[in-house]
Amino acid sequence: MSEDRLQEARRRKREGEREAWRARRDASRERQQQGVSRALRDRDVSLLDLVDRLLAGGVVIHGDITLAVADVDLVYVGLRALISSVETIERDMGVSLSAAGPSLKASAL
Amino acid sequence: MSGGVLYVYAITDSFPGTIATGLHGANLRAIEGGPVQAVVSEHAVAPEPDVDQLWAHERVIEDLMKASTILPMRFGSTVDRAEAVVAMLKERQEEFTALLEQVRGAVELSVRAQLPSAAEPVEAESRLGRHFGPGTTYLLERAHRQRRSEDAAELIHHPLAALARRSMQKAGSGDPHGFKAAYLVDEGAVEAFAEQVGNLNATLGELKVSCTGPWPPYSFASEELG
Repeated sequence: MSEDRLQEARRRKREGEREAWRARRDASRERQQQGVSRALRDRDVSLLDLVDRLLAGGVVIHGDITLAVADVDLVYVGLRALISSVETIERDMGVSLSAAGPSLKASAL
Repeated sequence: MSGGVLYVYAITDSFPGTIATGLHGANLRAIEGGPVQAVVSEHAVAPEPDVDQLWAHERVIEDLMKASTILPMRFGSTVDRAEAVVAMLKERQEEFTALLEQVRGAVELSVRAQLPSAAEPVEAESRLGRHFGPGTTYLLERAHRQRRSEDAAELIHHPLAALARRSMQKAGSGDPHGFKAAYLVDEGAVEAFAEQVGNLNATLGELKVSCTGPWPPYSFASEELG
């Protein structure tokens, strides 16, 4: 009995995660469509690249004028967690968010 | 400003004026420091760090990029006083002017691919006979797989790097089979680059190469990164 309930709870949790993932995906697509025409940009892989660039690239302010370092490090950890959970869902659902070959060729530059 | 923060978006040598607004619709302005400027907006508190703000930051940078050459700042770069910005601009003037020249007229393209992995067994035993113990066989197989990954990475990287001003391969996030690289490409060469990615996908079979962009030159905005 309790085993069944446990499985049911797990199933619900997975469904909740998938729902959240879909919502994030849709929101992300919407944002991209609103933005500048992005010839090569493709779906959720853009979010991975965005996070990589904004949180690990760019000009860094050194020294005593860096007030936000601690905060940003925390954000970085948080977003990494979000990204890895997307990847986990990707794996569980057997879909690949990064297979962008066909749409790349299809997009008009 | 008392108690507020200045959010810094980019370093530029050609601030286009008020063509764009910042996070939360805030006005953008330039702080001068010698030949370069920092583009900033004022906020009562530091903008909250979440995915929406990441896209908002990106949107501001892209708006600026339409009219000027810029070095994008890392997300979340805030300072408490304009004097601190001026000091940074003056102190790092040579670095910024050199980097601005490097990225002028170019955009960044991001490429990812999944390289061959352990999924494909290597026939170490059949190739080498059964003279080795399990430890040696394991090491041979691992070396072979690593070579395959490196070869595949080179197959992707080499033709793309040939179309780029600069390029950098990035260490994958804990995934030895994940290929990740950034290319600084002339605006006029983006189409040729995209075609080359298409060619790679057509010829490399199971290797799926994905490309996003054009991005602001985040990966080429500092000497350490580039």
